[in-house]
Amino acid sequence: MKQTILVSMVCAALLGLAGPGLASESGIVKTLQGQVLIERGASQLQAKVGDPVQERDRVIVRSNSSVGISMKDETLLGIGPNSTMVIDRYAYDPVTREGQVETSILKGTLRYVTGLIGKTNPKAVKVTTANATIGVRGTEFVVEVPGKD
Amino acid sequence: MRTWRPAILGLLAAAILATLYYATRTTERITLLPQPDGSPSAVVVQSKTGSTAVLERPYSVATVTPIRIGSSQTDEAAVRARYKDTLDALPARPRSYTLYFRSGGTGLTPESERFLPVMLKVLVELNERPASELTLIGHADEVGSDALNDELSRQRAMIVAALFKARGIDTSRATIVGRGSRDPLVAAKKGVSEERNRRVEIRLK
Repeated sequence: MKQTILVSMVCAALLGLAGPGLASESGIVKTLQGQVLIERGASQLQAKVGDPVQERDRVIVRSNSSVGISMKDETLLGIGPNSTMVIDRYAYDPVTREGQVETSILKGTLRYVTGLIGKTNPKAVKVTTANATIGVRGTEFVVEVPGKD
Repeated sequence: MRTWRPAILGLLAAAILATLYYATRTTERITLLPQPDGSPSAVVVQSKTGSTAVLERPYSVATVTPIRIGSSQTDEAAVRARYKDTLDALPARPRSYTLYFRSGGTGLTPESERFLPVMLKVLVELNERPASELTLIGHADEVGSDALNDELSRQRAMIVAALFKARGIDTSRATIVGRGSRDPLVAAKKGVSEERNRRVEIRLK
């Protein structure tokens, strides 16, 4: 035991106690085509591959554009052209694999691949549109919401 | 009276057209996609008006308007054509590898020791993809207390991180998790040694 504790201390020192980056980070932009904006509070950022996304972010995808986001629990999102999606709620504990993932697709198209939160508890996953709420049972699907503008 | 008839018919036609236009402009479509491994899955669609549709067959579609849910069936080619950009935008699926450990400590089994170089070759390549994320998840078997196993599983994950770092893999942003004995690969009784549960999952996304 003593030896393993020592080894782990050395490791921790070597790694600089690597942990999950920003505490508020819910996911990361992995793929990007064209122009994609992340609206966070009053600010609007031009998204790039590697950018973090957070709870309450609004992701706006312009025409001829698309974005792919991977959440911390391995929920995968593909968002098509002329889309607006909001991360309403995101919480994830990697040790227990419990959490909550709620998104809204206000317009456009979303491909959704359920991650580990949904595997632990399908009820913790929710996708909302103007007309409906979508619940999952270990799933992949596409949602299309016609635009208003 | 007769002079009114065309006007009424005209109005009716306009109303029908407007309804149709409104319906197509507001109809949402939810399409169930197959699981990559072919396992069964389902989505439950609940409209704001309270009606529910359950999609269980791949490529079945729920069409949702503000007043009703309908259903239809499509196929892979049609989905591909309709949603090409959206489908292609999906990030690559996570890759997962497993290393196994000797009982009670942080030493790899001989098999995992031999597998390590093969895995490292793949990891070095994948880790260079833009915005890649490495997660190391340690596990313990059912021997020992929960507190000890939480600690041991985390140490195993840290040992793997150190091994990777020593071979030039960037682990500075890696997430390291110890899940103790709460997620066994193989069901085992408390106190029973089980090699397949003494492991570190390496997940790259």
